Amino acid sequence: MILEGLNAEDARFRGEVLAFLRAELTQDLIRQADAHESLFPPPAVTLPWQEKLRRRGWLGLHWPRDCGGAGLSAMQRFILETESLAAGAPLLAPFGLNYLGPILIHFGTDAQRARFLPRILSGADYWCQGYSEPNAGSDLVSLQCGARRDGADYVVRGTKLWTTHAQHANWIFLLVRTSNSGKPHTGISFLLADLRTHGVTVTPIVSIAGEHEVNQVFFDDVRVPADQLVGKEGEGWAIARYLLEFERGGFVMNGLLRRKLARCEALAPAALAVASSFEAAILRSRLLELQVDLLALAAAELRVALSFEVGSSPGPEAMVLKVEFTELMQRIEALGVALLGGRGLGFAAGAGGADRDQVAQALLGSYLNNRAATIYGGSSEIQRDIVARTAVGK
Amino acid sequence: MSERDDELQMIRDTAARVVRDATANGIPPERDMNVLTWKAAVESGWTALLVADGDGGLGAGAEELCVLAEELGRGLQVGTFLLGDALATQWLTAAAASALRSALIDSILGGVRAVAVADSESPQRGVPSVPLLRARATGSGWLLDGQKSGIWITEATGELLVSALTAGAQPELILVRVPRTAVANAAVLQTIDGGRAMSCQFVGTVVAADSVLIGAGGGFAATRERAWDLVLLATAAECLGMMKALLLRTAAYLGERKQFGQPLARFQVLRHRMADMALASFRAEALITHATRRFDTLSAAHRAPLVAAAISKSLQGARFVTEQAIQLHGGMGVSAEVPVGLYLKRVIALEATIGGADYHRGRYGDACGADSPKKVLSSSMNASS
Repeated sequence: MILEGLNAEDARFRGEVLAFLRAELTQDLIRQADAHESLFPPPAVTLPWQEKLRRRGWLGLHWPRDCGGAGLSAMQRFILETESLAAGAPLLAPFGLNYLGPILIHFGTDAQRARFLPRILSGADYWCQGYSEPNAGSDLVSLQCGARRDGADYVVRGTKLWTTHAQHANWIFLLVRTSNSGKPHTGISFLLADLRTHGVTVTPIVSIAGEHEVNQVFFDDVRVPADQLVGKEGEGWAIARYLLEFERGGFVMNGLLRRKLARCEALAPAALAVASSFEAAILRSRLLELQVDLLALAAAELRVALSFEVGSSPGPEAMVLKVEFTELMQRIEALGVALLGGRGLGFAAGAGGADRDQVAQALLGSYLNNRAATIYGGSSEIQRDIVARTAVGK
Repeated sequence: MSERDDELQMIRDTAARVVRDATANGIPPERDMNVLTWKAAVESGWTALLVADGDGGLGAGAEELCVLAEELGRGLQVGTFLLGDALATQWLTAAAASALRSALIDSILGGVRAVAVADSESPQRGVPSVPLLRARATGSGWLLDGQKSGIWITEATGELLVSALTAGAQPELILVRVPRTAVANAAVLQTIDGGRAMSCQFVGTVVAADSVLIGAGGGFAATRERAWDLVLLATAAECLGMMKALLLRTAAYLGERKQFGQPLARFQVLRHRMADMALASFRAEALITHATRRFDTLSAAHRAPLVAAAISKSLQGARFVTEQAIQLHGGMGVSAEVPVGLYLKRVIALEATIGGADYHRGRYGDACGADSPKKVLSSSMNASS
């Protein structure tokens, strides 16, 4: 519904997107994307789709054209992202395309852009994000993973936690402490490290859904060449804040949630056939409320998307989208679990065998896994602190 | 900024100034615009917004009306402007040319406030559906039988625009003008928000043929539906204005009021409540902005659910924000000394007139048609019963 009433030019582009999706988005790809419980499917699923988008020229949506970006208008970008996800395309991993790309474009050197940007688009490099640590979660500024300058290198010592897809990645961008003097945020720097460097260890962490999505990464005196510092030493916090705008406000997720809600709706007839009239009325009300809230999210995402052009950032106001998207996703999946009823009883963490109810496995796995969505990338409570700063003042 | 943005900003600035003047000594308990404010409204061209260029109006649309409603809503100055004047204007401009049409439009442009809308009927809830009021043809005109309620009037109201269904095998929706003096058993209710709502009966009320503004085959059903959608959307914008005003007012109070040795604004639980209030306003604003921009390019089938979503979310948000604004003001919030309670009463009056958030969520489901969960659910319920 969010894409009804477009002007002729945008409606034509929407037609191009739908034709592309019909031709390129195979049932097999949709099935693989649906089967994954985590928000971000692994590269084995996403990279083939990324390559199709690259060949069509629709990759690097937040990148200027001279950096290899798609050169789409804000409205076209919104249409492409909304329709792709609603049709069941896998959500591309954002770490390289949506996070590091804009950082290098804004803060990097020409040499860094030339070295890394093309390999993000081609999928030759797969990035992960080294932010959280055992004692620095929501309070990111107290991070302790250290980097000291030694000749032409930085020597990194410490650990990063909850690192999504580190087991798939060959590169990591990370926030490190390069100074302990002054205020905590002034001593932070932004480094790029090759995960195959001597001294890096990646250890898996298994979630309550049984999935291996996140990791702990240990750095034991890892030598990182100094030309892999982004921006200036001590500029890491400013870069992190810029990246946060993309992490929290740069997504267009209404298509993904439309698909999740449609899967709930598909469960409704069977559930309602056995529900009491009282429960049925409540389930219907929940379903309608989620539809309306999803429309509100889509409208909000559109508003934000139209407010920033390629080359600029979403702005701090856009970060409110993160709390809206993640909380709505959780409510949609909670309704899905309610509609599943007894089918959910047989869920087994990590056991996706053919003897299991695949619908229940995917839905419950996703529900359990996405409890993390209101914790990572700025918890809902941190987000409310930020909203309150605007609404109430400091 | 584009020329259009400039125009909208001008409406916003003028409205903000008028509201500031009207509320300089506090927000008046009477909900309708006072004489001076109304004079300013007419001079600013607000009564002419929805009147076509050819009829001496400004030919403006949803964006202008919603910007205006939001600003007036901040100071509780909308009164009967949307549910009276804005509805009436849209109906009249859709009428075929006649001396009566011209006279009524001129009275609106001149700010006489003579015209009120009689569309709701008392057994119905929310947005008026098919009227029970019947119009029977006679040799020289029509006879009306039935009743209307929830007619938002002012002291100046002299004319009613009445929706009726023609009697006969092929009933049609028509619009007729009835002088206020011609109705029976009129009762005027002082409403909770300080306004006036009239109910009345029509007992063989005679309507001359030249008092029919939109006759059978005149497309009144579609006109009426669109007019209500626009007024519902503008009412959502009024709710948004109320939310924004209360967010500012409450933030100021939290900064001033000290307890336990520090301003209330330092307590995280109160800050998070304010964040939730701001999020409610944010959601409503997103839907209103989108629906407003697309109002004229969408088909009726796509417009209706979007507007229903916008008004549902706005009423839900306004109810939440006003109740929580009272809570955060503590004892002062329930005192008549601060006007926060007036906002809650306005929300209640709107809900009682056009239906609440739940009702409009249901309308959203109905309006979605074949794709709606209601269809999915009701067909499955039928299958199981």
